[in-house]
Amino acid sequence: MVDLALKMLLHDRVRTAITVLGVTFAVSLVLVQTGLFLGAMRNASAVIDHSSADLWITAHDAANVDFAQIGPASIVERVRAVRGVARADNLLVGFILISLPTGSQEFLEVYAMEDFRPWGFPWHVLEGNIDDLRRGPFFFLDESATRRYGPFRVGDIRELMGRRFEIIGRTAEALSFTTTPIAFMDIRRLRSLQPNLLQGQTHYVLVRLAPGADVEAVRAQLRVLLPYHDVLTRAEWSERSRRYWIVSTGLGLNMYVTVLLGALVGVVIVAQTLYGATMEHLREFGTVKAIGGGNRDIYAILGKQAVIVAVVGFLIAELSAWLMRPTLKPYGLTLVLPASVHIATGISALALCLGAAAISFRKVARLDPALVFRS
Amino acid sequence: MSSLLREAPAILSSATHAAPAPAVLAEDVTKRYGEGVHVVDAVRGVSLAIDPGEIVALEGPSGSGKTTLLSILGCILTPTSGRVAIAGRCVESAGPAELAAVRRRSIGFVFQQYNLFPALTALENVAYALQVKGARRDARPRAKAALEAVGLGDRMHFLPRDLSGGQKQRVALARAIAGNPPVVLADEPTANLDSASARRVLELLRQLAHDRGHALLIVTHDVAVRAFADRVLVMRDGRLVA
Repeated sequence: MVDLALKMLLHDRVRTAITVLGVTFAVSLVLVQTGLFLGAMRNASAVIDHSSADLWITAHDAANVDFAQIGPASIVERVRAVRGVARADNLLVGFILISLPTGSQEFLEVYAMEDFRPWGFPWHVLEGNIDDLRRGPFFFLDESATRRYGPFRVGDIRELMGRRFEIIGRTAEALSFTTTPIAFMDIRRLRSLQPNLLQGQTHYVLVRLAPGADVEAVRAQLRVLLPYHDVLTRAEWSERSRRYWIVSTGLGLNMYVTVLLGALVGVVIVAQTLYGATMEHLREFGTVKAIGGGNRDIYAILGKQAVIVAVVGFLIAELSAWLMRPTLKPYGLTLVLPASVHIATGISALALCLGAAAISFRKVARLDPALVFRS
Repeated sequence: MSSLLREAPAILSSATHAAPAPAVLAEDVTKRYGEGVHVVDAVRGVSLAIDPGEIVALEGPSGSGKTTLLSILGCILTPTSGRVAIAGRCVESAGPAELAAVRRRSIGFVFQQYNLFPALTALENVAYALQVKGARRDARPRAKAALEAVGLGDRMHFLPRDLSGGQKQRVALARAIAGNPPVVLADEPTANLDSASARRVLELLRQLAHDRGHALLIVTHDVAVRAFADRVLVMRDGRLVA
């Protein structure tokens, strides 16, 4: 079988390359922008999503997990008394100053609890034993801090709010939307660093339900008990935290506009080059008609070329997005691309190219095969 | 003549008929363009018949209607009035799909500008035309045989850009005859060729028409074609004058 569609593409390499680049550009833009957005969103709710708490008790209308509001720590005692609650613990989330070996100071976001292990914190420990935090002025630091604070090792000493603390463990994947590095510390140590602010206070109460307990029933009791707090499931709190960043930073709008512009530019480039190619090959398509071919034969050629361009452009874009991941990592940026994004982008690229090719269909349908006699 | 046209399929399929039916038959064919005061009759009342194996040259000045008549006989245009039968099939009122089917089955074209696909080799150009005509597995062997028939067995894998004008026209000729159509229509096939190449192409055309029984109509300005044709028709102002 002679594949005229493929042969024409290979013969007209420059034009084909431009068309493929158009698809690659559009798909890359969509993939990277969507990936960064989803990566930022994952960071925005990473702590919540990785916790094993069934319910989070937060201050009323708390915006997101990073910007916490304090309340009395004693409410945890009342929560523990509710039927259906198996365990409840306080969680403090605070920003403190860390002094670096260079002499400069940076902010550090600290998660502090009495006992992290029952709540699945931290979820990826590279080095150290989280239970050791209770033994002294120690903390775990996420490896993502390297970019902001410089290299560090277990056993290094750092000053937190002017007091010496030892790094006794390293974690990974503990990231926040703010990109401020995250540390884990015993709750009493954090309170001692900011006693005026945090003594007898908490930001959140994490709740685990007893086996078989009905979440809505427990929540209803807690709401009656704590009318000035919100009682949220993990999914609700995660969604609220993400939504805050999407709305307040314009990140969502930015993503949609960039994706739209990327797709638009892609459509214009691909449509223009495919249409130009069709115009350039009108005499050949006229010949196809003259030797007995119909419009469907020519549509098949144009359609196949569009599919080839879409697939090649998409694969190059996927490869470039994959290669981009390690480049972005040192900057604290993560590309999160679930299978659904790949599938949706691939289908969109295909539809984009077929749509662009369809613009030429009308011209071909009106093509007069008698043009083959013109010199 | 008109009864012959209406009965053309029956006549062609009749084993008892003494004389062979014409491969190309036109009766009182007219092609009119435009409306109102801007009407132009490109072809006026043309009647002709070409038998299998016959070579007919169609001459005439530019604008005389030769190419329009060729387009009508090639099932690319439909006449405004009159009757046309190709290989025994009446086509004057056929729709686009039916005309395309007749072109596939019964007509081979040779163009002045060759109209080869620049991205395809000589072999692929011929094989692709056979594919369009319905051949699949045997397209390449048949294309190879057609190219060998026109003396291009050693140029099968050359792209058109690497072939001379005469070689390109021979590829176009191989493409036209590869499907073994009863009718071959050639539009100025020697116009872009030097005299030696033109002679070679014309000899091939004559040999193929006579050996294989193709009815061959050559539209030309080239006086050299006269010597190769069995019959010469002359058109002027849309009419056949000789």
